[in-house]
Amino acid sequence: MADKTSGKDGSKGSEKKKHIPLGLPSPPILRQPISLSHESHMLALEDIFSDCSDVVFRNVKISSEVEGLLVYIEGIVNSTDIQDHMLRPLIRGLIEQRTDEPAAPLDDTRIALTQVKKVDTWADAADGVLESSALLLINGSKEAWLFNVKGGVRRGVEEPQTESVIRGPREGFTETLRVNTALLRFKLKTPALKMLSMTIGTETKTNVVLTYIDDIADPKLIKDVKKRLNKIKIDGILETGYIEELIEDHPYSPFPQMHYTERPDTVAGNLLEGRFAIFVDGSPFALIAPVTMWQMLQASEDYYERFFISNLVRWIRFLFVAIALFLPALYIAITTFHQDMLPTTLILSIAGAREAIPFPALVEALIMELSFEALREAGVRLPKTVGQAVSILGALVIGQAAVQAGIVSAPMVIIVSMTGIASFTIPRFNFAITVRLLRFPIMLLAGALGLYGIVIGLVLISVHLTQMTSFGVPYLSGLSPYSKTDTKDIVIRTPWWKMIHRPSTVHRDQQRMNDKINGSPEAEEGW
Amino acid sequence: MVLIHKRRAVAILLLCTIFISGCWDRKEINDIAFVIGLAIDKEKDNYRTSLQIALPGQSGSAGSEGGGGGTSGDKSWFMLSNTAKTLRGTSIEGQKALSRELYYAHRRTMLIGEELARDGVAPMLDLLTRYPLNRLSALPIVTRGSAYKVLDTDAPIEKFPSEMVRELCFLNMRKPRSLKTFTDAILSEGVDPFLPVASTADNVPSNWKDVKTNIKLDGIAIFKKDKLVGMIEKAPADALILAMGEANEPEVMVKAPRGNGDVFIKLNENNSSLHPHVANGKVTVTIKLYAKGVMVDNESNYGDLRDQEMMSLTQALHQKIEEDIKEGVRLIQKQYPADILGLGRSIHQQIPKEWKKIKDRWDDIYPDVKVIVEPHIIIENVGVINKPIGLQEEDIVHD
Repeated sequence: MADKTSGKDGSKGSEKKKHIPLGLPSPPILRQPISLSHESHMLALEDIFSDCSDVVFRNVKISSEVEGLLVYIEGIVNSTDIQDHMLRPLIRGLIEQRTDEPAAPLDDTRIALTQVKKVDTWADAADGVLESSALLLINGSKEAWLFNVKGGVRRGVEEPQTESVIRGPREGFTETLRVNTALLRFKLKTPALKMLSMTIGTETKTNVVLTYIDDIADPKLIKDVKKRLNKIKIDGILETGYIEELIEDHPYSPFPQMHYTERPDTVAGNLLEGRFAIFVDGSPFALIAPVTMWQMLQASEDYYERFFISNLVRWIRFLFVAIALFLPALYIAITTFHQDMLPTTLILSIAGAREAIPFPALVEALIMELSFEALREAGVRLPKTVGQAVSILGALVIGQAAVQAGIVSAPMVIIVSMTGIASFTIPRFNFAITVRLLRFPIMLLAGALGLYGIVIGLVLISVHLTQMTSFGVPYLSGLSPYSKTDTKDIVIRTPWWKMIHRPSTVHRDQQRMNDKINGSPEAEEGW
Repeated sequence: MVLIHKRRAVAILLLCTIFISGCWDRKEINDIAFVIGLAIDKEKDNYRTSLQIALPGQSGSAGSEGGGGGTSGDKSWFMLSNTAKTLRGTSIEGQKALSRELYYAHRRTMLIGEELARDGVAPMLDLLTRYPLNRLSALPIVTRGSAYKVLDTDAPIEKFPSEMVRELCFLNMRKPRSLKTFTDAILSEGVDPFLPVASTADNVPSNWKDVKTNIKLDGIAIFKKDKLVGMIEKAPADALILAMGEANEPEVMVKAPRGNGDVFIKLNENNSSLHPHVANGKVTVTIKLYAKGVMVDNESNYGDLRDQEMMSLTQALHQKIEEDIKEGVRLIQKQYPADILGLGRSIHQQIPKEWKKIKDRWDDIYPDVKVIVEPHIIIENVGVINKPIGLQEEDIVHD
């Protein structure tokens, strides 16, 4: 789908309007090679970085005769590195230099930094400076040096905010790409863990890393992803969300086709099952694909707790997904179409509670669901200190005052709060939003057609889900198409010693475990 | 591209149908009158239907604050009674006097007045079984006298008197007769229908203050086809229900084998089967009754509960049950005669060849069928104490 749409857009553009090259017009100086003299260096850089107050120019003497110019951007470099490992050796060299000896040529042995690069065009030099390097220009030399002195204040590794667990690692990704890749490398100490780097975004020049395990992931899949990533032409990538929307299979589907996580262990687990992950510099999230719907209902903790507990929790989640999607619709359908379906006492108490309510059940449900969604949204956006006040206000207004005023009925409050709780049991936030979203059309269907409408909604959703793919993998795979080994991790989470095979979405190296592992009852028999 | 547009157009058109067709049988819950109970009587040539309609605003549920209002009595229901030539006519009449739509799906009992039952219930069964909101699982009950009087009792323990009748039926029988089984019995050969009988009663002697009218189930109504032929009292009725294996944990009072007073045995698990035998045109049916008994009360001074003595207690129990059942069977065989036990059906099912020969004469044969009762009861629990607790040692009768 993504391919088709981009192709379509391209053809349309060429037909109707003149092709405009992507990106800002660059100053002509960038296309020139680095000049020789100190003065021309100054002029060129002032041209490139005009009105950039954060760029620092500093004159240095490399030897008594040779002048140099050090350029870097304040704040994104590590000033201590520049002081200790660049300026200090240079100055010491200057002091120790005897006047009678010719100046020692500058080479990387004199600078105590690991990543050093020579460049000879202004464009490369400017890019280096923008990517946290220090640029050293030498009077009379056509080559400039780039020293990697990456630094600046970034957030440290903290506990993930969106995916907290009871049992499991507590470290989460940060905004720094290399920290994230390092966190992953700590977990997967194998040369087969590949990290393909590419730069996307003409202005942001965001570093994007595609990571996978070479022997496990399907090479065709990786080729496909690389192709899709290379097709992206955009001015900036600020979050993984940009990439997700630009490369997914079904841009018009409400269902997420990639999932994002803050947890290195989740990424590692998925890579071991043959999926790939995409890191974007500046985002504490990693995108993971291909995914199935079942994965959206699994938390990393499912695999860390013993399988009894995991199964209980997983079934509760399945139940509550159904509740989150259908409960308000069922309530509407039953109270307005199928009053014969409830026990007499229950229907009478609902009828009693609804006696003074001025709205039909559908309108009542829509009012409540919308105010709940608003409350939730307000809770996310507001500063933490105000958030408390909002939740109290919401609970009082919606929970109690509305019932006492006879605007909504008490059973509806119960239904809406049940639904609210249910939607928070879904471990993947993007899937939870989908469920919340689909709840509304199903409610409308139920209000118009009763249970028949709910069934229509269910059928439409099922049809959509069965034909959906995520990077070529059927969204319901395991169940449709059916695979016996895959079902071991769908409805139930079998114990680890039973999950001998990787999911069938990967095509090579399926077995992940010795099938007679110590401790499993099967192995015990032989002892 | 054209294909995609076409598909989209089709999809949008299909979606439209949902909203065009929608809502035609939508009924808001507060536009519905829930009929909870129904009493049908005969009044001269007319039917009188009394509907018991729930008042949800007055049902005192926690969520009904702000709702309902009004202090028109503390009852959570009201009666709506109408007469018409036909049964359906009565509900049409009733609807004329009601701003909410009558909704029958929650009506789980149906009281039939004695007089109407004697005239035959067949004409009204069609409406009660054809219209889907009338449940076939509803329990029909015959009342002594007029049905609306039973429906209009206070019955303070339940929210609705109709609900009370229903609960009583379930206490009385394991599987109370529903409209379905009742109709089935009318139509089947070799079995005659019966229904429980309900009547009004006072909760305390009527000269006390604060008397409330209550409902009790006493006996069963015997039908011949669809017509009521008579009612039998509580005691033989219970024995007959036990013979059908339908009794819900009945307690049997047995005279103690020695000493004075009675012992109560509760038959926890009881089951029965009919075994017909036809020889030379003479029909014998054996009722085998299997049960496990628990001694719940010993009001006698009989104190020895050793194994041997248990045998004689069991003997006494067997004898008592046999007598009771035989008495009941004698009533239905000679007095009415109606085959509510389904003796004919047992022949039909077990020896169909013989049934073909006798089925035309069954009504004549039935009163003279020999019924043998064979109880097999094991008394399992005699309680944790083995002697009557309120008696001195010397007053207890031993061997």
